[in-house]
Amino acid sequence: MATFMMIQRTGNSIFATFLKARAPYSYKLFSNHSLKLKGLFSASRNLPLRSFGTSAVPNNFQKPQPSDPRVFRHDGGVAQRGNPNQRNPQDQSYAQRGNPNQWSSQNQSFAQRANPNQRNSQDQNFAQRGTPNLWNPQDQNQKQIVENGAPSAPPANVDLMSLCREGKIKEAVDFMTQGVRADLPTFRALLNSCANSKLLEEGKKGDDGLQLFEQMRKLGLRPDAQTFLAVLSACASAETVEEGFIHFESMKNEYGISPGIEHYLGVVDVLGASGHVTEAKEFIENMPVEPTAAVWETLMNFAKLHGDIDLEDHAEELLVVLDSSKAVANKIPTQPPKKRSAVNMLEGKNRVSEYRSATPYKGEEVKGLNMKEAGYVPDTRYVLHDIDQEAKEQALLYHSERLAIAYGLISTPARTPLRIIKNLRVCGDCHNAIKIMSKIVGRELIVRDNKRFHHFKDGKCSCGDYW
Amino acid sequence: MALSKPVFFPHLKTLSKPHHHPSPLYLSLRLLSFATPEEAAAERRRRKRRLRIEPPLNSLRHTQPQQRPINPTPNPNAPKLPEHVSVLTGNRLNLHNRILKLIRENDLDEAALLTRHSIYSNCRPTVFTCNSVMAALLRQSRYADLLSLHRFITQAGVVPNVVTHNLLINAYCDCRKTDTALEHYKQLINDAPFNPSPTTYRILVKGLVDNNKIDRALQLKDEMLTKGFAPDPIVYNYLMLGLVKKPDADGVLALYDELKEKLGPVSDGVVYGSLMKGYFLKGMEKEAMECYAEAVREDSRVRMSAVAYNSVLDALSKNGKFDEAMRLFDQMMEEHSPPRRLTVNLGSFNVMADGFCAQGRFKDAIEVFRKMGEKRCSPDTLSFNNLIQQLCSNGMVAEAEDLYREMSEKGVNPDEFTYVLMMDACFADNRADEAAGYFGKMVESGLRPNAVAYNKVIDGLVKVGKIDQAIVFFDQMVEKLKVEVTSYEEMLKVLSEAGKLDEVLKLVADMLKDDSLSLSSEMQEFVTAALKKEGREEELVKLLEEKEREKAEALFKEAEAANASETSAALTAGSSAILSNEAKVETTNFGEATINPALVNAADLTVGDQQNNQEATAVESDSAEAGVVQVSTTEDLKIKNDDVSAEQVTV
Repeated sequence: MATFMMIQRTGNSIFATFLKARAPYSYKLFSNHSLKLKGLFSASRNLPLRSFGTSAVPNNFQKPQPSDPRVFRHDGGVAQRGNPNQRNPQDQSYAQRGNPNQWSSQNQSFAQRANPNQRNSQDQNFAQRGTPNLWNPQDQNQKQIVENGAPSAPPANVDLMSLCREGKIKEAVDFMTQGVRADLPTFRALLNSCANSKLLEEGKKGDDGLQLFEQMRKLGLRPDAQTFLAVLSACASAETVEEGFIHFESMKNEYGISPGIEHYLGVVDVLGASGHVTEAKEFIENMPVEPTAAVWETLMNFAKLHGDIDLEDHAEELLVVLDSSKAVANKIPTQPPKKRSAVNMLEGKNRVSEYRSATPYKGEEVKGLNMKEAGYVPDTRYVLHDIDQEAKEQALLYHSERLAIAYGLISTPARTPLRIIKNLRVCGDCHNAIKIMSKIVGRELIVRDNKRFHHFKDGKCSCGDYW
Repeated sequence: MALSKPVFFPHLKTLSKPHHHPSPLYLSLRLLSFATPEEAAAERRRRKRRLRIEPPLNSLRHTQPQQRPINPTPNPNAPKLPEHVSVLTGNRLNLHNRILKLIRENDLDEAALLTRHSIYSNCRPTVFTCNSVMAALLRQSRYADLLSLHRFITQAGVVPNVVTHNLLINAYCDCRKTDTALEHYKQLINDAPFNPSPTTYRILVKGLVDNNKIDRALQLKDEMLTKGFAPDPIVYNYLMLGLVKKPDADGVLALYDELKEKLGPVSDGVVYGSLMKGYFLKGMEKEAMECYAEAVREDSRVRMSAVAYNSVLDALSKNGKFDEAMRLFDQMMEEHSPPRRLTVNLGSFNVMADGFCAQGRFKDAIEVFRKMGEKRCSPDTLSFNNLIQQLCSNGMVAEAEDLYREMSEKGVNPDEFTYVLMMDACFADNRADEAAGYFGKMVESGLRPNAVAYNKVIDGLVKVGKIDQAIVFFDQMVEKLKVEVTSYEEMLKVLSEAGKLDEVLKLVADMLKDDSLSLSSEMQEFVTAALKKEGREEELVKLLEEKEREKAEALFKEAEAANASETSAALTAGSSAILSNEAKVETTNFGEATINPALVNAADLTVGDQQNNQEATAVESDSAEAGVVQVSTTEDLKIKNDDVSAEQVTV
């Protein structure tokens, strides 16, 4: 058994050295190696893994759980696992990250700042640690067991750290529930990967991040300025204005970190993402530091996003003053708003309502829709039932094409053509009726019956009344 | 939808506790006053839990993963969270930008149409796109379009966010439907997975104050505070302005004290204007001026925006301190350096123009008004109206006309009030034709004057003896509006005095046509007397009789139509169900059979109605006959049909 583990470990370190070498070369070796590993595993598959564990604390990793995704992957073979995706997961999610400010390059760079370069740290990780679990979680599993071989040795903080750096939030949280004490950089990495993770849906990211931050505070760790940036971005993605402000204030008051412009920017992000644009503007105006171009640009983008034209223009003006390169050439001037009672100070002097529509108007447009007035005479020859005249007229009104057109008229926007498909021939009376309808509503009605297409327009049909 | 009635912030500490406001510098930053982040988070999660959204980290802690319910097809009707800003990417972002461009070009119809069309396309617009269109519609006061778009997106399942709610509440408040707005607010509080924003309260309080519901507004302010929002100076300012209007000076001062107690020294300048007005109301001029000095002195900590300055300016100029107001106005003009510092806006000029007019210095008022362009402010319709009104009421019609011309040059659209003002001025100046011209222009430009405006132009024309023109306008009014009896009576008097009897009769006929109007006996006598002069009184009698008859006919037709629709419904149901020959025969048979009793009925009727004029009765009895035949046949038919269908069932 021990020899087997030894091989494992050496295998890992071999990996690490290979990977430090040039990439194509290592790839080649890598595939060979993984094959070898696979062989090893298939040999050891049936070994009762539990027997390795001697730790007093029952460890999740010591139980082979079929539902555990890592164990599940075990069957997939190691060769498959060594895919490029696995190699740099951070990078991918990084590029695809849903940035709230699509217009803002500045803001993107802010996000970068908030997010320590994951790839580099991963490389470092290779060098230092001999890849604990890069290609194969099983691998890591094994190693874990080895480390647990000594009694009362919980999963180490370093492992947690490496998990965080790879963005394996699930695993990291699992570790933490098992009692691994996370330290500050771990939490920071975890918060960041929470914010970047593609696995979580948007609202959840922030929630999870905030929950982690709460845990962190409970553990008595002292967050630093970088952590607060991550917390603010979590607040932005969870759209929690209140907590954003609470954390922002606790940063100054409890932890004595004086907020930099990027923190203010973070708060503006929180407000903007939650739709509080007016409040964001007030916040910027009340800031004790002079707002930079980036701040105004963020505000402008959020105003644009939420459709506040006036605020957008205002922010843009201020932005151009600070950074004239952002000026937009030949911009369409904004239409003045129709009602400006908020600014024009003439309260009680607006008497237009007294001169407008206090009395009801007569329904002129309803009159226009009356078909009989437009010359429609029901042609009851097409009703073959032996019923009296009135009932025949009534029966004509319920022909399916008319019902379809009536529904089409009330449920589509004006002026668009309507297309009706009917499986039987249109009757002569309906043909007339539709001609008149097309004239009244001013739309093109295209009716297909089982013989041909009829294009009704302006009271005429394309078939020339012959079909 | 709500799983439980929400209990709001029960854990909330009282606001007076000092640790809530640790440093006065950042006081205004805080929106909500929770004591700890845990409380805030708890409240937020409670709101979300109503939508059955998992608590955080839950999905990560899968210690017993097999117990997690696997639900591959979630209920599509389940309530959802509004979209997050990050969804605005790719095609949806392109659509957003396209629609924003349309809004910039002020092609709102197209923007709204595009939004609707893309709802069911493969690129669904985000809630942000819908909000942008609705905000643009609100900005142009197109409330009907806004509401219909809102209804559309709600039906299409676009989940509203707080901005959507604010826009809708704003629209309701602008339409003076504060009750609807409050109802909507209640819905937001009860069901939405997020909290209202301070802007929501600002909009609501302003709407309530504008509609003279100050008590409800005060209640809302208290509600806002109990919900944990920090006291907002802008909300307090609206309330204080409302109390100034009431007028309730003590209330104003009490509100200010409350705000001061909660915030410490008030650094937002907006409240100072209304505070000064409160002091002036109480006759405490000295305090008012002290307050003024505190707000505008050089090293003041109070931040004065344009709105804040305007309200102070207004307080000064309305309370006999116009010299001071002029000084302040100069200071504001100097301080103004857009875009960094905005101290002057449209309102400042309006207040000054008002002030000059009140002093009788109309030339200065116009001069101030013209200065607006220098500071990149543009007057709107209301400011033009105000100045035109001042000028007209002081007999300066020529200047008013200049201003009116300027409006069209500057692209400001005159509204109904502008035209009525110009019309009044022209009538006062004995230029009735021009006045009528203004009225015509108003109607042409698609504005919708009401009865008051119509009566004004008709009165004016009648006074100068242009009755023909007056009749044209009256006819127009009858066509477009529901006209009151009094307007008819006035017109009848005028016409009979002028001896236009044909017109009189036509008008009476018009009046009788409208069911909601009735010719009073007084009026009838008056018209008869007028007709008697020419010996044409019998014409009126004839007219009235004809009217009576028509009414009877109409009643008849209604009854007939009601029955006919019933029968046909029964018939169609019957005929589709009945397939056997037997049944068919039966229906045809009784159709012939019923004619006889029907004729008898009709004869009875004609006997009873003999007093009517010969020809008219003939026509009527014909129609009545037909009607009765119809009625009886249809009734029988129904019964028969019922029988038939019963048979069907038994068979």
